[in-house]
Amino acid sequence: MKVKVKFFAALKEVFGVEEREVELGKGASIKDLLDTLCDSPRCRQSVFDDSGKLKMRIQIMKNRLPIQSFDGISTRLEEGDVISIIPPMFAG
Amino acid sequence: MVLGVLTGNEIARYRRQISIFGKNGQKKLKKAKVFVAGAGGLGSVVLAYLTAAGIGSIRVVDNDIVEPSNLNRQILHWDCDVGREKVTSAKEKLEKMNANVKLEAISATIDRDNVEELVAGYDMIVDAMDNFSTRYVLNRAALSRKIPFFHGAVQGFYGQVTTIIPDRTACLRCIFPEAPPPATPAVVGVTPGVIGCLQAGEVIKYILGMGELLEDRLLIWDGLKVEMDEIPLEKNPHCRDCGSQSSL
Ligand SMILES: [Zn+2]
Repeated sequence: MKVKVKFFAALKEVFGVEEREVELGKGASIKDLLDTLCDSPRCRQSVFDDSGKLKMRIQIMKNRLPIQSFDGISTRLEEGDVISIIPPMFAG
Repeated sequence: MVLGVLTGNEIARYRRQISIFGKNGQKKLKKAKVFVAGAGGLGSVVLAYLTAAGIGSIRVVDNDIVEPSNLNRQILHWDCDVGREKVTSAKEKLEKMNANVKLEAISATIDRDNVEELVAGYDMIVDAMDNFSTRYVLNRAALSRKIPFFHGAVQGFYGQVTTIIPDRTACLRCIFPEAPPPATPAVVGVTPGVIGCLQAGEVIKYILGMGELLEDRLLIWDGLKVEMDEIPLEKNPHCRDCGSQSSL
Protein backbone atom coordinates (compact mmCIF):
# COMPACT_ATOMS: atom_id res chain seq x y z
CA MET A 1 0.00 0.00 0.00
CA LYS A 2 1.03 3.57 -0.57
CA VAL A 3 0.89 6.49 1.84
CA LYS A 4 1.90 10.09 1.33
CA VAL A 5 4.23 11.75 3.83
CA LYS A 6 4.52 15.52 4.19
CA PHE A 7 7.34 17.18 6.10
CA PHE A 8 6.93 20.64 7.60
CA ALA A 9 9.17 23.53 8.65
CA ALA A 10 12.71 22.42 9.58
CA LEU A 11 11.94 18.75 8.81
CA LYS A 12 11.68 19.53 5.08
CA GLU A 13 15.36 20.33 5.12
CA VAL A 14 16.32 17.38 7.36
CA PHE A 15 14.55 14.87 5.10
CA GLY A 16 15.51 16.69 1.92
CA VAL A 17 11.97 16.63 0.50
CA GLU A 18 8.65 18.32 1.19
CA GLU A 19 6.61 15.22 0.49
CA ARG A 20 7.07 11.71 -0.78
CA GLU A 21 5.09 8.56 -1.36
CA VAL A 22 6.12 5.49 0.58
CA GLU A 23 5.27 1.90 -0.28
CA LEU A 24 4.63 -0.21 2.82
CA GLY A 25 3.42 -3.72 3.55
CA LYS A 26 -0.22 -4.24 4.49
CA GLY A 27 -0.87 -3.49 8.16
CA ALA A 28 2.20 -1.28 8.53
CA SER A 29 2.21 1.22 11.41
CA ILE A 30 3.47 4.76 11.90
CA LYS A 31 6.55 3.19 13.51
CA ASP A 32 7.20 1.13 10.37
CA LEU A 33 6.79 4.23 8.27
CA LEU A 34 9.23 6.22 10.40
CA ASP A 35 11.78 3.39 10.26
CA THR A 36 11.51 3.47 6.49
CA LEU A 37 11.80 7.26 6.35
CA CYS A 38 14.76 7.54 8.73
CA ASP A 39 17.43 6.21 6.42
CA SER A 40 20.19 8.42 7.82
CA PRO A 41 21.43 9.08 11.38
CA ARG A 42 20.45 12.74 11.00
CA CYS A 43 16.86 11.87 10.08
CA ARG A 44 16.69 9.29 12.87
CA GLN A 45 17.97 11.77 15.47
CA SER A 46 15.41 14.34 14.43
CA VAL A 47 12.52 11.94 15.09
CA PHE A 48 13.67 9.46 17.78
CA ASP A 49 15.40 10.05 21.11
CA ASP A 50 18.41 8.02 22.32
CA SER A 51 16.21 5.23 23.66
CA GLY A 52 14.52 4.84 20.27
CA LYS A 53 11.23 6.45 21.39
CA LEU A 54 9.45 9.06 19.32
CA LYS A 55 10.55 12.50 20.44
CA MET A 56 7.77 14.28 22.30
CA ARG A 57 8.69 17.32 20.32
CA ILE A 58 7.45 15.83 17.05
CA GLN A 59 3.78 16.00 16.13
CA ILE A 60 2.48 13.47 13.64
CA MET A 61 -0.93 13.74 12.01
CA LYS A 62 -2.71 10.90 10.22
CA ASN A 63 -4.88 12.76 7.77
CA ARG A 64 -6.68 15.37 9.89
CA LEU A 65 -6.01 14.03 13.39
CA PRO A 66 -2.93 13.56 15.58
CA ILE A 67 -1.74 9.96 16.01
CA GLN A 68 -2.38 10.26 19.75
CA SER A 69 -6.07 10.06 18.94
CA PHE A 70 -5.49 6.61 17.40
CA ASP A 71 -2.80 4.25 18.76
CA GLY A 72 0.13 6.64 18.79
CA ILE A 73 3.17 5.26 17.08
CA SER A 74 1.45 1.87 16.67
CA THR A 75 -1.37 3.44 14.63
CA ARG A 76 -2.08 1.28 11.58
CA LEU A 77 -1.81 2.94 8.21
CA GLU A 78 -4.23 2.58 5.35
CA GLU A 79 -3.85 3.00 1.64
CA GLY A 80 -3.94 6.67 0.69
CA ASP A 81 -3.28 8.07 4.17
CA VAL A 82 -1.56 11.44 4.31
CA ILE A 83 0.90 11.62 7.17
CA SER A 84 2.12 15.07 8.28
CA ILE A 85 5.25 15.35 10.41
CA ILE A 86 5.64 18.67 12.20
CA PRO A 87 8.43 19.88 14.46
CA PRO A 88 7.34 21.65 17.66
CA MET A 89 6.68 25.36 17.73
CA PHE A 90 5.77 26.87 21.05
CA ALA A 91 7.47 30.25 21.42
CA GLY A 92 5.57 33.50 21.36
CA MET B 1 -14.97 57.32 23.36
CA VAL B 2 -18.58 56.65 22.42
CA LEU B 3 -19.23 53.10 21.35
CA GLY B 4 -20.97 52.63 18.05
CA VAL B 5 -20.29 56.19 16.87
CA LEU B 6 -17.24 57.23 14.90
CA THR B 7 -15.73 60.65 15.59
CA GLY B 8 -14.40 62.87 12.82
CA ASN B 9 -10.90 62.02 13.98
CA GLU B 10 -11.62 58.31 13.68
CA ILE B 11 -13.17 58.62 10.23
CA ALA B 12 -10.05 60.48 9.09
CA ARG B 13 -7.55 58.05 10.54
CA TYR B 14 -9.30 54.89 9.34
CA ARG B 15 -10.19 56.29 5.88
CA ARG B 16 -8.07 53.78 3.95
CA GLN B 17 -9.78 50.81 5.54
CA ILE B 18 -13.26 52.33 5.75
CA SER B 19 -13.01 52.39 1.96
CA ILE B 20 -12.87 48.57 2.14
CA PHE B 21 -15.46 47.70 4.76
CA GLY B 22 -17.36 50.93 5.34
CA LYS B 23 -18.17 52.87 8.48
CA ASN B 24 -20.27 49.98 9.69
CA GLY B 25 -17.21 47.74 9.55
CA GLN B 26 -15.19 50.29 11.46
CA LYS B 27 -17.95 50.50 14.06
CA LYS B 28 -17.79 46.73 14.45
CA LEU B 29 -14.05 46.98 15.16
CA LYS B 30 -14.73 49.77 17.64
CA LYS B 31 -17.32 47.68 19.49
CA ALA B 32 -15.04 44.63 19.66
CA LYS B 33 -13.36 43.57 22.89
CA VAL B 34 -10.23 41.53 22.32
CA PHE B 35 -8.24 39.67 24.96
CA VAL B 36 -4.56 39.29 24.10
CA ALA B 37 -2.66 36.71 26.16
CA GLY B 38 0.99 37.71 26.10
CA ALA B 39 2.93 40.90 25.36
CA GLY B 40 6.03 39.26 23.92
CA GLY B 41 7.02 38.63 20.31
CA LEU B 42 3.59 37.68 18.96
CA GLY B 43 1.80 39.98 21.41
CA SER B 44 3.79 43.03 20.32
CA VAL B 45 2.72 42.56 16.71
CA VAL B 46 -0.87 41.52 17.41
CA LEU B 47 -1.36 44.45 19.79
CA ALA B 48 0.23 46.99 17.46
CA TYR B 49 -1.92 46.01 14.48
CA LEU B 50 -5.15 45.67 16.44
CA THR B 51 -4.53 49.05 18.03
CA ALA B 52 -3.76 50.66 14.69
CA ALA B 53 -6.90 49.08 13.20
CA GLY B 54 -9.08 50.68 15.86
CA ILE B 55 -10.28 47.76 17.96
CA GLY B 56 -12.39 49.40 20.68
CA SER B 57 -11.17 47.59 23.77
CA ILE B 58 -8.08 45.49 24.26
CA ARG B 59 -7.00 43.75 27.44
CA VAL B 60 -3.44 42.44 27.53
CA VAL B 61 -2.15 40.11 30.22
CA ASP B 62 1.49 39.09 30.73
CA ASN B 63 3.52 38.31 33.83
CA ASP B 64 6.95 39.14 32.49
CA ILE B 65 9.58 41.84 32.87
CA VAL B 66 11.41 43.13 29.79
CA GLU B 67 14.85 41.57 29.42
CA PRO B 68 17.62 42.49 26.96
CA SER B 69 17.21 39.13 25.18
CA ASN B 70 13.58 40.04 24.33
CA LEU B 71 14.49 43.04 22.26
CA ASN B 72 15.31 41.25 18.98
CA ARG B 73 11.65 40.42 18.45
CA GLN B 74 9.35 42.02 21.03
CA ILE B 75 9.10 45.28 19.17
CA LEU B 76 6.85 47.12 21.63
CA HIS B 77 9.72 46.96 24.16
CA TRP B 78 12.76 49.13 23.71
CA ASP B 79 16.18 49.62 25.36
CA CYS B 80 14.64 52.06 27.85
CA ASP B 81 12.10 49.42 28.98
CA VAL B 82 14.53 46.77 30.26
CA GLY B 83 13.44 45.90 33.81
CA ARG B 84 9.88 47.22 33.37
CA GLU B 85 6.68 45.17 33.26
CA LYS B 86 5.93 44.16 29.67
CA VAL B 87 2.27 45.13 29.94
CA THR B 88 3.15 48.63 31.19
CA SER B 89 5.69 49.10 28.43
CA ALA B 90 3.23 47.84 25.82
CA LYS B 91 0.33 49.97 27.04
CA GLU B 92 2.45 53.11 26.99
CA LYS B 93 3.43 52.62 23.33
CA LEU B 94 -0.03 51.58 22.20
CA GLU B 95 -1.75 54.57 23.83
CA LYS B 96 0.62 56.87 21.99
CA MET B 97 -0.10 54.97 18.78
CA ASN B 98 -3.89 55.34 18.99
CA ALA B 99 -5.60 57.14 21.86
CA ASN B 100 -9.01 55.99 20.57
CA VAL B 101 -8.40 52.46 21.81
CA LYS B 102 -9.27 51.54 25.37
CA LEU B 103 -6.30 49.54 26.62
CA GLU B 104 -6.16 47.60 29.82
CA ALA B 105 -2.88 46.10 30.95
CA ILE B 106 -2.78 43.43 33.65
CA SER B 107 0.48 42.04 34.97
CA ALA B 108 -0.47 38.51 35.98
CA THR B 109 0.22 34.86 35.30
CA ILE B 110 -2.76 33.33 33.52
CA ASP B 111 -3.79 30.08 35.20
CA ARG B 112 -6.80 27.83 35.67
CA ASP B 113 -7.94 29.78 38.72
CA ASN B 114 -7.96 33.28 37.26
CA VAL B 115 -8.57 32.72 33.55
CA GLU B 116 -12.37 32.96 33.67
CA GLU B 117 -12.22 36.25 35.51
CA LEU B 118 -9.52 37.63 33.20
CA VAL B 119 -11.33 36.88 29.95
CA ALA B 120 -14.85 37.68 31.22
CA GLY B 121 -16.57 40.21 28.99
CA TYR B 122 -14.20 39.73 26.07
CA ASP B 123 -15.35 38.54 22.65
CA MET B 124 -12.28 36.56 21.64
CA ILE B 125 -8.85 35.43 22.84
CA VAL B 126 -5.61 35.85 20.96
CA ASP B 127 -2.91 33.32 21.86
CA ALA B 128 0.39 35.16 22.04
CA MET B 129 1.79 32.90 24.76
CA ASP B 130 5.19 31.26 24.89
CA ASN B 131 4.17 27.91 26.40
CA PHE B 132 1.58 25.21 25.85
CA SER B 133 0.39 24.81 29.42
CA THR B 134 -1.05 28.34 29.41
CA ARG B 135 -2.33 27.82 25.87
CA TYR B 136 -4.37 24.82 27.08
CA VAL B 137 -5.83 26.95 29.90
CA LEU B 138 -6.86 29.59 27.37
CA ASN B 139 -8.17 26.92 24.97
CA ARG B 140 -10.51 25.62 27.67
CA ALA B 141 -11.61 29.13 28.62
CA ALA B 142 -12.42 29.87 24.97
CA LEU B 143 -14.35 26.59 24.67
CA SER B 144 -16.33 27.14 27.87
CA ARG B 145 -17.25 30.71 26.88
CA LYS B 146 -17.74 29.70 23.22
CA ILE B 147 -15.54 32.48 21.93
CA PRO B 148 -12.90 32.18 19.19
CA PHE B 149 -9.29 31.44 20.02
CA PHE B 150 -6.61 32.61 17.61
CA HIS B 151 -3.57 30.35 17.99
CA GLY B 152 -0.06 31.28 16.95
CA ALA B 153 3.38 29.92 17.81
CA VAL B 154 6.88 30.39 16.44
CA GLN B 155 10.27 28.71 16.37
CA GLY B 156 13.32 30.05 14.56
CA PHE B 157 12.25 30.99 11.05
CA TYR B 158 9.06 28.89 11.32
CA GLY B 159 5.62 29.56 12.68
CA GLN B 160 2.09 28.18 12.84
CA VAL B 161 -1.37 29.73 12.98
CA THR B 162 -4.91 28.44 13.21
CA THR B 163 -8.29 29.88 14.14
CA ILE B 164 -10.36 27.91 16.60
CA ILE B 165 -14.12 28.40 16.71
CA PRO B 166 -15.82 26.42 19.51
CA ASP B 167 -18.34 23.80 18.37
CA ARG B 168 -17.21 24.28 14.76
CA THR B 169 -13.50 23.52 14.47
CA ALA B 170 -10.79 21.43 16.03
CA CYS B 171 -9.62 22.96 19.31
CA LEU B 172 -5.97 23.35 20.28
CA ARG B 173 -6.07 20.03 22.18
CA CYS B 174 -7.56 18.23 19.17
CA ILE B 175 -4.49 19.26 17.16
CA PHE B 176 -1.82 19.09 19.86
CA PRO B 177 -2.88 16.62 22.56
CA GLU B 178 0.44 16.95 24.40
CA ALA B 179 2.65 19.94 25.14
CA PRO B 180 6.17 19.89 23.78
CA PRO B 181 8.68 19.83 26.65
CA PRO B 182 9.85 23.30 27.69
CA ALA B 183 13.02 24.66 26.13
CA THR B 184 14.53 28.07 25.53
CA PRO B 185 13.20 29.00 22.14
CA ALA B 186 15.28 30.49 19.38
CA VAL B 187 13.31 33.05 17.38
CA VAL B 188 14.20 35.45 14.60
CA GLY B 189 12.22 38.65 15.12
CA VAL B 190 10.58 38.64 11.72
CA THR B 191 8.86 35.30 12.44
CA PRO B 192 6.49 36.63 15.13
CA GLY B 193 6.11 39.60 12.78
CA VAL B 194 4.64 37.32 10.12
CA ILE B 195 2.64 35.10 12.47
CA GLY B 196 1.35 37.96 14.65
CA CYS B 197 0.14 39.77 11.53
CA LEU B 198 -1.69 36.67 10.35
CA GLN B 199 -3.37 36.36 13.76
CA ALA B 200 -4.35 40.04 13.80
CA GLY B 201 -5.72 39.63 10.26
CA GLU B 202 -7.84 36.68 11.40
CA VAL B 203 -9.21 38.74 14.33
CA ILE B 204 -10.13 41.62 12.04
CA LYS B 205 -11.79 39.34 9.47
CA TYR B 206 -13.68 37.50 12.19
CA ILE B 207 -15.07 40.77 13.58
CA LEU B 208 -16.00 42.03 10.13
CA GLY B 209 -17.31 38.68 8.89
CA MET B 210 -15.12 38.98 5.80
CA GLY B 211 -13.19 36.43 3.79
CA GLU B 212 -12.30 32.93 4.96
CA LEU B 213 -10.75 32.12 8.30
CA LEU B 214 -8.10 29.53 9.11
CA GLU B 215 -10.82 27.21 10.41
CA ASP B 216 -9.69 23.59 10.64
CA ARG B 217 -6.52 24.64 8.85
CA LEU B 218 -3.11 24.67 10.49
CA LEU B 219 -1.01 27.08 8.47
CA ILE B 220 2.72 26.53 8.73
CA TRP B 221 5.06 29.33 7.69
CA ASP B 222 8.53 28.47 6.46
CA GLY B 223 10.50 31.71 6.48
CA LEU B 224 13.64 30.08 5.10
CA LYS B 225 11.97 28.77 1.97
CA VAL B 226 9.34 31.53 2.01
CA GLU B 227 6.52 29.00 1.79
CA MET B 228 3.18 28.59 3.49
CA ASP B 229 1.90 25.06 3.90
CA GLU B 230 -1.37 23.88 5.36
CA ILE B 231 -2.54 20.82 7.23
CA PRO B 232 -6.31 20.17 7.16
CA LEU B 233 -7.73 19.48 10.62
CA GLU B 234 -10.88 18.11 12.17
CA LYS B 235 -12.47 18.01 15.58
CA ASN B 236 -11.39 14.93 17.51
CA PRO B 237 -14.59 13.36 18.93
CA HIS B 238 -12.55 11.98 21.84
CA CYS B 239 -10.76 15.25 22.60
CA ARG B 240 -10.41 15.68 26.34
CA ASP B 241 -11.12 19.44 26.05
CA CYS B 242 -13.88 19.69 23.45
CA GLY B 243 -15.02 16.09 22.91
CA SER B 244 -18.24 14.60 24.24
CA GLN B 245 -16.34 13.24 27.28
CA SER B 246 -14.90 16.62 28.22
CA SER B 247 -15.81 18.09 31.59
CA LEU B 248 -16.79 21.45 30.13
ZN1 LIG C 1 -10.63 19.49 21.01
